[in-house]
Amino acid sequence: MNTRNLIKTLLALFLCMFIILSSYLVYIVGKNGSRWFSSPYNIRIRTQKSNVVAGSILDRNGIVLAYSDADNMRQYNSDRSLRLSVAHIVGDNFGQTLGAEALYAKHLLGFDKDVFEMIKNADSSKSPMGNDCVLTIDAELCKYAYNQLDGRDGAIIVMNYKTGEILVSTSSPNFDPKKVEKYIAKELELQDGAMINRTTSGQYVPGSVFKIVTTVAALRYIRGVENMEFECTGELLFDKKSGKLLGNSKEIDKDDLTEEYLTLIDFQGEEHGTVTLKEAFVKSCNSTFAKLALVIGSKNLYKTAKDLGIGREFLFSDIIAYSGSYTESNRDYNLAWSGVGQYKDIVTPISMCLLTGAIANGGVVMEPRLLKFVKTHEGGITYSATQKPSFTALSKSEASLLQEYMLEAVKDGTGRRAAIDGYNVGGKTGTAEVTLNGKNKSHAWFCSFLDSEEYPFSITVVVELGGSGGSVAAPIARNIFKKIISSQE
Amino acid sequence: MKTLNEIKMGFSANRLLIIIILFIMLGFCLLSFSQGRMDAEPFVFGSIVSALFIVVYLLMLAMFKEFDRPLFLTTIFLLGLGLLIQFRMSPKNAKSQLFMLGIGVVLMFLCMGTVKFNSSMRKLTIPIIIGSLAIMAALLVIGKESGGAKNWIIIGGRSFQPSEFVKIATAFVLAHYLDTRTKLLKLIVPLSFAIIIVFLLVVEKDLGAAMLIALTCLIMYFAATGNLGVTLAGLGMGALGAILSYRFFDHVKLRVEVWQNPWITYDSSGYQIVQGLMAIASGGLFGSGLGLGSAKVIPAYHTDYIFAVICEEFGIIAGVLLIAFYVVFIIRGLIIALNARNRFLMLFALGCTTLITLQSFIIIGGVIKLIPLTGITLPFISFGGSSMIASMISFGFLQGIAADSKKYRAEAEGST
Repeated sequence: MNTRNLIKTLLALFLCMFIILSSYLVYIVGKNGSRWFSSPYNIRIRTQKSNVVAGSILDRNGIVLAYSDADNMRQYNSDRSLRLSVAHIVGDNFGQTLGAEALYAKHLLGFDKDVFEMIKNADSSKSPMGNDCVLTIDAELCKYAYNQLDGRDGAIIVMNYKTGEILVSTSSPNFDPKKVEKYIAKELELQDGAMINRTTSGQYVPGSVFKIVTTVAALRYIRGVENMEFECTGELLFDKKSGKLLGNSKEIDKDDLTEEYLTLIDFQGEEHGTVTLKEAFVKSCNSTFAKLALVIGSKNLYKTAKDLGIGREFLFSDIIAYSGSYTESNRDYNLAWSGVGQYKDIVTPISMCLLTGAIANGGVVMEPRLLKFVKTHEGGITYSATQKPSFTALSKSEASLLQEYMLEAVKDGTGRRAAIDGYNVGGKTGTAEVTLNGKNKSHAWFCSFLDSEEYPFSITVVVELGGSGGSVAAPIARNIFKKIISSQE
Repeated sequence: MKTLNEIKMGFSANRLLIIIILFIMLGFCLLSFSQGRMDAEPFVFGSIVSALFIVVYLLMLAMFKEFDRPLFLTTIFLLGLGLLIQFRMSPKNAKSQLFMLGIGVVLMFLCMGTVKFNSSMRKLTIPIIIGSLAIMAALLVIGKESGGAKNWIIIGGRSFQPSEFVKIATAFVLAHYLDTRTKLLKLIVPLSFAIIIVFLLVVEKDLGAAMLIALTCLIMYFAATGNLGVTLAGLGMGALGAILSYRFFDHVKLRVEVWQNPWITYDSSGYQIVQGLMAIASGGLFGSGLGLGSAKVIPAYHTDYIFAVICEEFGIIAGVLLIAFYVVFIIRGLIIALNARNRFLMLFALGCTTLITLQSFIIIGGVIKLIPLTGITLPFISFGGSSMIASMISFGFLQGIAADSKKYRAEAEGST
């Protein structure tokens, strides 16, 4: 080719480069712009606060959670326990947390006004007014849920799995939005991590609730697993050096072992005997799921976890959420524990709640919504949430099978204490073992859904160091569901 | 028919120039009134800028009738926008920038004039090579560090960035040799010259300039020889060099990590990128309005990060338009190369255009986090005397080549 033609080729190349450049600019700002803008580091928000009367933040029933008073000071709801229960959701005025105050600053401070409004406002002598944000949460229910934690640390989240609306979100320990200035000045002590919203960012060991993931992986990678039977003796033995599975406690006599060994035991050493996959799920049998994990393999388990949301990058427009992570291991012992939600498995309450909701919703995860609508001071609506699917986690048939298992677990399994008369409740318990100051403790987990057209809600309860999921977390889920049903009747 | 076309073209160029000047003057008027009271200074400054543009345009018409109008108008717009945004950020900087532009304009005319004597100009190749190598090597010893890179030299109280001029010298040297030689073995002199320059730049940690010169040389080599294999091998060597420097140099590794996720190191290394992204996001589609942004918090807002400032105050839409203006520059630059009178001028025009192309791509891409950030100026807009003068020199050569080829063609047609 001669130089002339090559220059023409280069021209095409340069044009492509610049088309990519401008498309990327538009794409990336469209995708991340509001997130970047509402970053607590953005000094423009702070500047705007002194020029604008920020709008109010209200719950779905019109309860005012935050507002600006006549002196343009930020005020919060006067009911202390209500205020604390929604502290993480509402956030603070000093850019310390990622609550509505920061995330919806665009609306609250009126950055979303169009040119004509700005010209109109520039003319008047009064300070311009920001817009009011109405959230999807029910503050009274949040308060109720918060009181259910009864002073213990933990997180509770309730979502409508058909619309994605977050109805309840509360997290403890928390802070008082009224006193954030004092926390910053170190006049008041604050518990470590109290500013973190544990429902969306709390990184927890899942324990047995992770068996939902292992079950889906088993359905995907082990043909006919629904009809297989498994033998549970309550204990599995592994070689300490290689981490290889030696067998269960019946097949191997511990006294015969010359090498050192490791064990994987069932909850309180229970022996489940011969079980099917469904029975293993309902009874939350560790031995079975550990063995399943070994057959499924680390890579496939990782892939399934990601399909189900754990390890996925959550880029929701209304909230900032972390999804958790699954760590692969080629050591059998670790892989076995990872199949029952221990080892290095990490989830967040919201990722489990989305997954539970997807099971109830035929496999589809709806994008979580926290902002219901935005209205101007005069009452005009400037933004209204639309419901849309975020991703498909499971196939319809997988979802209905998991539904069946979870319903059974509440009807006649570890989740019995979540049952509500007259309603179909599905759930999975979890008792996640953690080591604290050298002692073994456990977080109580319960992931549950109401199988109801009228009340399409999924819930995730975590009570830190609370004990067993079935006896501690499940009753809390039941109480909250009951409260929702009675308050909407 | 042809003359009619040209008359029409000249007429619309006048009109477009007026529109550009109106746009710039409106911006300066806005700045005059932005404090709630009349401040004459921006208006006066804007008038001087406009007058300068008109004078340059008239001089061009008088001296080089056949200069390239679209390229001229695009550059005038970029220069005007640059001075406007610089004035809004800091009037002091803008004044110094205007002074540099004045020097740049003089050099531009000089460069335009020299194109006619390109065959005698090419005798300077060897001195240019020696001079470039000497100055780049001297930087190792007497260079002043700024922003992590040791690439400044101070002469008589003013600081210069020699790499800005060396890049044009490199394009010149390559064009000279590639004109007649295409075999790799016969190109040892220019290629080892380019490699040494790039190597020195890497040692001086001026990664932006190193990348720019390396890629420009490859592109010129490719266009001149059509040898895809060697070009890809060169690219591969560059990639290998990049991987090795990622492995062994902490500052390179840091840049890549910051590029992948600037938010986790917001307090330290990620600060600049995060501030830039927030500025762009805060502007939204239509921008905060001239004078209403807060982009001064970004480090290097007036040099490397000027694109983020423009995006914040004029909006994403202006960002896209600005990219489009560079595209017009590139298209005209390459058309000038295609129409050049001889092969040397063709390759040199290609080199000058490629420099502007890659430079704007590298810095805009870095600011919007498409590629890792390497500090380099946005041509015609960023604050910086060396960069401004060097850009004007490239522009001058392009205009000279355009005028020369049209004149030559007209003469050829006239004689037949």
